[in-house]
Amino acid sequence: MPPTEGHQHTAPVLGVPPDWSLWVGSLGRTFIFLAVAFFLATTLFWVLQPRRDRWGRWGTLSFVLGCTSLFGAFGSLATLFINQRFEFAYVYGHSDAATTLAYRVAAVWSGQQGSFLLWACCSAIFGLIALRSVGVDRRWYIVVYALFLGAISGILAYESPFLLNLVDGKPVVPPDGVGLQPSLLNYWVTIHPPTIFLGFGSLTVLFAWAFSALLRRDLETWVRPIRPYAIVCMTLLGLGLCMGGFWAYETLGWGGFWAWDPVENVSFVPWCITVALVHGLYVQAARKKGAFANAMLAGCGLLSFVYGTFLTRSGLLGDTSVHSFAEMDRSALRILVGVLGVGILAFLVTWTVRWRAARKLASAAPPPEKTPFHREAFLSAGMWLILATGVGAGIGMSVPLVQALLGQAPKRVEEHTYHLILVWLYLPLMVVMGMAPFLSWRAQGGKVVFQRLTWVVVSTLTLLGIFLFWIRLPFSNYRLDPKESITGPFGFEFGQVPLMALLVGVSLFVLISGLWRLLETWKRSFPAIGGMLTHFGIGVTMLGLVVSRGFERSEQFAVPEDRPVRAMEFIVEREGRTKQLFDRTNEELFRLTTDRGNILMHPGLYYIEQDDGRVQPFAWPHVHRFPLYDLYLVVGALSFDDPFTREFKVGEEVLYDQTLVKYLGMRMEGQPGQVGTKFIADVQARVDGQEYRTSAVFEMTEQGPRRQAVRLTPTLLVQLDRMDAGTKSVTLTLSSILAYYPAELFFKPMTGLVWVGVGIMSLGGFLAAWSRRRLRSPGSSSGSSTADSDPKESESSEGPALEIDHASASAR
Amino acid sequence: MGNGLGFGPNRTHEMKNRKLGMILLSLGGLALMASAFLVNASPYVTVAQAKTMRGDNLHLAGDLIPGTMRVRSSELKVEFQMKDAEGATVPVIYAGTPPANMGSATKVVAIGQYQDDHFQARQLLLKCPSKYESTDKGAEAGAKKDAPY
Repeated sequence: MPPTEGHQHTAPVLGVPPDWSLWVGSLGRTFIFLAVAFFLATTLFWVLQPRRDRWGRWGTLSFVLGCTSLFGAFGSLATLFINQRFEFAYVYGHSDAATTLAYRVAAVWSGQQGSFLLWACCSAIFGLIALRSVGVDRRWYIVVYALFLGAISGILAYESPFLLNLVDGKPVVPPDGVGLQPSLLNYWVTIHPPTIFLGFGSLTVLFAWAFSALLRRDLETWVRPIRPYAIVCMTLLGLGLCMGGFWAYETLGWGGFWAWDPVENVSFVPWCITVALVHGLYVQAARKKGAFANAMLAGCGLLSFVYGTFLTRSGLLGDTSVHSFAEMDRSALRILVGVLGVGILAFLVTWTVRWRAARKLASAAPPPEKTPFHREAFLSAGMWLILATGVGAGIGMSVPLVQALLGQAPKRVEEHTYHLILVWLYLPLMVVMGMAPFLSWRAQGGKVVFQRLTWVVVSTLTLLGIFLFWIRLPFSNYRLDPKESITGPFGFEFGQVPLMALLVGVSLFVLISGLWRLLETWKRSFPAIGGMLTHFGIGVTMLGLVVSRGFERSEQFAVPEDRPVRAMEFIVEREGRTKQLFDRTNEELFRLTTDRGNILMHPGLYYIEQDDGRVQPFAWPHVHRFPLYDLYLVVGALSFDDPFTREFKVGEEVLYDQTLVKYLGMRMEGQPGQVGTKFIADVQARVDGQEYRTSAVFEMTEQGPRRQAVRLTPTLLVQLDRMDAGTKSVTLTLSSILAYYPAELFFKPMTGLVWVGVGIMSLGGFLAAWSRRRLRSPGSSSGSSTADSDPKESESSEGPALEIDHASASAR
Repeated sequence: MGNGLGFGPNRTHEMKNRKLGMILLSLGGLALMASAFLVNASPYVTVAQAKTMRGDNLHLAGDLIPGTMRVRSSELKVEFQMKDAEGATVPVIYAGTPPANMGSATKVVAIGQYQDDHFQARQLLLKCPSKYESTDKGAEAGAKKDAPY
């Protein structure tokens, strides 16, 4: 569509949008409203289904149509992005003509409205997939799911991505869009959001299914079919979190994977809850215990995510955090708060009512095991610990809210506060995680258990010993000051060396234990290795995170244009740039030299012109990967030393910009008070063994005094501002014309483990889910075989009897 | 623990005690963790408060007064004037390289301590106006320059 030429001179040329694009926009809006209607109809049909059977079929159809409408809305928005229809405010705000196709698709979810749409679509995808597995839970599952999706569609009706750019009530096409936020321009923007939102979407399955199970008073039937969904959810969330970490590491230049930012915590909390749920379901499947705990966990995953979304989108953090969060439309926010409030209230009330009723029916509890060394005890200890970690992160991110509610001044929870508090959960969690797979369901004596663990412990200690020895070797590049100590919460002091040894030790323990059990399981039944593969992957990931952070070294420095500087053990020298400073692909070249060789690093740096004419720099790091460590270099905006003004006495010397400047004396040409008189200050400079001399002149002209800066050294100008004829002292301004590149260099060991570990962990997760898949609903006995390594896990999906905590003593 | 049979009034009593113990333990843990976070969180302070408070982890929040920034790259030093919510101004000296978008920052949180006549910052958090809509991920970029653990 050629934009019609306007004849205004003041405003930019605005075109008239073509009919088809307006039509696509209306279609998208219609899809949103249709989704709301279909989901409401679904609810009605399925609530009334006992009256007439075919209403159930209509309800299901309506649910499918509602989900399809959401996909339709997504498709409409994607169409507008792909065709660059800038008459739509959302498209205008998140892309421009230069945005390539892949990023145009990614731009769909780069803003608030689009990410809500992505969330709704991902929930719908999982809603449809799980529809095949819910079996007897179908009715209430669909009702709850449809209510949730209806509410999200309602949010989208207010937070619409289909609003037009209007001038005088008429849609107009601006010549170009604003563009995608530069820091989003990275391949991760195409992969990370869909992954993590699929994870968030699958949380809805867990919530709706648990709700239905509670309503139906049957916490038994759902356990087996829901397990693959819980595992997939956990894996997607875990993978999504790690991808977010990789993104931050590769582009944002913080020098780390994880920063306990509120946005990160919002995803971390549901992951912790889902991990606890996956293990709780494992216990319930094998021991018929913890039914109510599992229902609670399944419900809390989604609720915690909705709470987190509320926290980051409400603007509550906006006043207290330097991170800005786009605020939501007020009506949309009200719906979100409504979903949160109604969701929490309805779920908790249902849970409590069912739990109290079940307690009355409770049969006698089994006798407690003689020793605590059995798998159930360790699994539940681990569940408590991971749950506490999630709750901790949740508390940390809620501090601004708590402060606001208490009417106190805002506070900021720093990254190290998270580390220092959560480390007390991390250490026992990893020990439990390493031990649990070696325990049987039947209680054993401590001696037997430690015999089984002997080789794992011995290998762990050996590897830890080798590691501690390695980091003391001078060529290992690791540094750890034995005298350094860290102050923890409530003023505890502990040494850095023992703390790091503990952290590395427990991570190694999990890694080795996971690998050990993995190999044992492999021999018996290959499909069952998923769980232990995940454990092994987590051990590898955590080892990488702990070592890369704990043994990180970094140094800030400024590289002048013309000469090398020292940073850590390197000599850093600038070697030019690849493009121009306003080119988004520009990279600055720096050569890092040691006595063992040199490498060329090329961190990115470019400028963007703002609307007010000012320029804004964007930088991204360069990561040079070695087998055992990363070198990570990020440079900042070019800067010049600000001029330096000072009074000099005759013969006085001052060091400025590595140059020794000396004021030698003053001469005068002509008569004082007359036009044309010149005052001349002789200045000398010494730098890099060179000596320079110049004369700064101050001339009285008819227009008043004239000062001129003269070159003192190749990079330094000097100007005579004022002089005192009596004392011959002068005021000189020295200004450097040397550009500096502020830079930060990180040495980060063992980061490769993080990448490998995340891969193993995700593979293990998907394998575990695959081996527990059950395509048919319970009732048909041909589901996949029990894939757990423990043959004692009973396979009884039949039986609608209400199972409660400690209700069954017969599982052994 | 308990009588051998696992039945009878003794047993239920013990179960109740155990449950109660569990609940108290988890509530205690929760309270401990919450207080650890609240106590260790760093409050945002004004200039007047910063002058009287001890510690090197004060979070001084305010606006960067335009045109007052002086960069000394060669000495790894950035100086600027900051104005807090009460209108008080204070010179801030930051030892380090300026964060990438320092030039366009409007709101600043300087972390450090008050010394003699200035606020000595060891870390700066910045908020910059941008022509791009501030999406969460985007806003984090560059706005953050955190000291390592």
